[in-house]
Amino acid sequence: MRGPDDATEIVMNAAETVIDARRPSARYWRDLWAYRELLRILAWRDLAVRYRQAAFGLLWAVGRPLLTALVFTVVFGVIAGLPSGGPPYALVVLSGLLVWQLFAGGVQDAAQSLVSNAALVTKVYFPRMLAPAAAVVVALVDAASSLILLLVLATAYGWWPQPACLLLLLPALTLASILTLGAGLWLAALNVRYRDVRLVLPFALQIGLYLSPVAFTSAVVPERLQWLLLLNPLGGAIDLTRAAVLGLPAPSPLGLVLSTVWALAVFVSGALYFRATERSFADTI
Amino acid sequence: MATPALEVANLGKRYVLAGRAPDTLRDAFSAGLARIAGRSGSRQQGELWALRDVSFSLAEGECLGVVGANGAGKSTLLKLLSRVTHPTEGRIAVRGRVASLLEVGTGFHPELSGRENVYLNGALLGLRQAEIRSRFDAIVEFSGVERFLDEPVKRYSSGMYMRLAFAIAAHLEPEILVVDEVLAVGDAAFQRKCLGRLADLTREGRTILFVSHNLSALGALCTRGVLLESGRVACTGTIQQTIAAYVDRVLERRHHADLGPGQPGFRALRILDLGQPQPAVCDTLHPDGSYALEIACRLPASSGANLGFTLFNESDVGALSSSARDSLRELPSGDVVFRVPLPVDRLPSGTYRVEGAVWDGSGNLDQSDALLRFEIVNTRSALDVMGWKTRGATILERPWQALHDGNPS
Repeated sequence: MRGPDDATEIVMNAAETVIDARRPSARYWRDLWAYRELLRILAWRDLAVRYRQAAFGLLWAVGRPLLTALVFTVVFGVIAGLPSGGPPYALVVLSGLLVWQLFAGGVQDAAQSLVSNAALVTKVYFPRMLAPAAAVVVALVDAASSLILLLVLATAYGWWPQPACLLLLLPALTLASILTLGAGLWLAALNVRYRDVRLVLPFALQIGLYLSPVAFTSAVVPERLQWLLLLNPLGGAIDLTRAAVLGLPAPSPLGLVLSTVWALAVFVSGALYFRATERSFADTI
Repeated sequence: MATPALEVANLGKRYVLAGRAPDTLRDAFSAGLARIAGRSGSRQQGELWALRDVSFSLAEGECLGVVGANGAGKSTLLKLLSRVTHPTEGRIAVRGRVASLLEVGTGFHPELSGRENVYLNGALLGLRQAEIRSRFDAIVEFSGVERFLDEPVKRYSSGMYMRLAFAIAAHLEPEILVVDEVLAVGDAAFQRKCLGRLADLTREGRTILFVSHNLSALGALCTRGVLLESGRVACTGTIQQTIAAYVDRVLERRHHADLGPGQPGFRALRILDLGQPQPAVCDTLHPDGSYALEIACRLPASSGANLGFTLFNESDVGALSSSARDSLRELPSGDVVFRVPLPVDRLPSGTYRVEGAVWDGSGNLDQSDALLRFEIVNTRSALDVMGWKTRGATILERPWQALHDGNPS
């Protein structure tokens, strides 16, 4: 038997949907909202599968950033002898890696999100943006576990973060997420059309790792090259994170504004390109 | 109905044939460079209209059967209706939520348990968590996989997969349900259950679009039909009219098709009137005559080879089936002609079509919905004056006995 709630729902659902070849669906953004639970479920699915498949799921989540941080600390901190600007070098590296992994992991999974869900894309309708968005949500969950690791380690080093400064994490991670989603939308759409995106991307990300202030601080970059850092949209997010957790100097207002503009530009253009190509995903995938 | 549940107008979908557009970044770059350099890179692109000028409307509670050969555009039509892909031209107006019954396990993740997949699949089909939760028990009960609910579905049999998938879609309660060839899997009992559930849904006022190669399932479930041919509507009408038109076309095509060299399959079928001094081909059969179905075919050398046929009456109910190995222990290979006597006196009047298949252990080698069509005029039975809906597909041949006070007279 139907309750009164169901009755109202039917009336709502009975609204007419018109699909017209000449016009894009006016319902898209409403659909995106209506399908919001699918975003959570897709992200949950990927996390559940990953942690169920990997025999040592937790070891993977904690061990990977820890091991990378150890290598970078030895190479850049000990062998190259770069200054950390105060805090232990391992914490500098780990905080950089936190943001970098959010970006690189998110972009990589987002780029694959449509192709690896090809069976769904060709059989079921859902707002396609949810697939790369779910990949970014998964990357955010990973970043949260890295953050816990970072805070535990900072405490172990006796390097207490200022609670007030921790609030800076919010804009830092928001900035990084917008940039990641934007790049993810671009690459997910390109990956459907061009088969070699999958091959180029890991290489590009590897170069990006060394061009970003991940294994070193922005302060060690010589004065005459500082402008190059401003071109890297991820730099601002990393510097903000280090300011939040380690108390390093916050990035300059100019740097922050540029980072934000960069991130928004990538996001808006990515969303537009995605919308423009989305119609034909099921045909070309 | 004043406002139809579904209205399709001049719908068309064009595909650009693959292999023309650059599909790597490298090719896209060099094509771009060529264009900048002035060398026109405008290669002529091949295109294909998978669907064109398709218009129909469907009232609430109707069940429309979409009939057509492979590649006629049935799947494209369903993809457009379920919004998987966007039309090139035309317009679709839908009142209410459209849900499509997915192919086996689409949207199921093998590593997740049955329970988790119910939620995943429900969300994919546009249900909210609360809606799934309120239907969860009904879904599980219908699927009959309770005991395996917490096992990962990769350990499920394909039948269990199918049952769970169907159960979810059948409990979505969308206004319009799109069903594509789902009844190919699962045992007979479950297929009946699915058809029963679909029939319930139409009675509840749900509108159903049903694509199937199973003509008798179409005949049993649908009220109206659309026949697609090369992407265009060839015929609309009652489901019986549509199936008859489809059978016409299959017979015609069959007539023109020849088997490739060495390819196993049917070559020709005909009915012989054995009552004549010289057996003559005929297409109208009377119960007093003696007739045989003659099947010319090519059989593979494989040991498990067999062939068989089923006669379907005009309401697409199977009336009679037989396979060669039912009576022959050994079948020759290569070109063979079989003769099967037909018990015409047991079949009521009407038009019959012969569905047949040649198969071996690896599956069907040749299959056709309509190899032949013929007419039976059975005026001998008093049942014949009544409509076909009131009688069975076969007539009992044994004579009746009248018992008087329990004693044979």
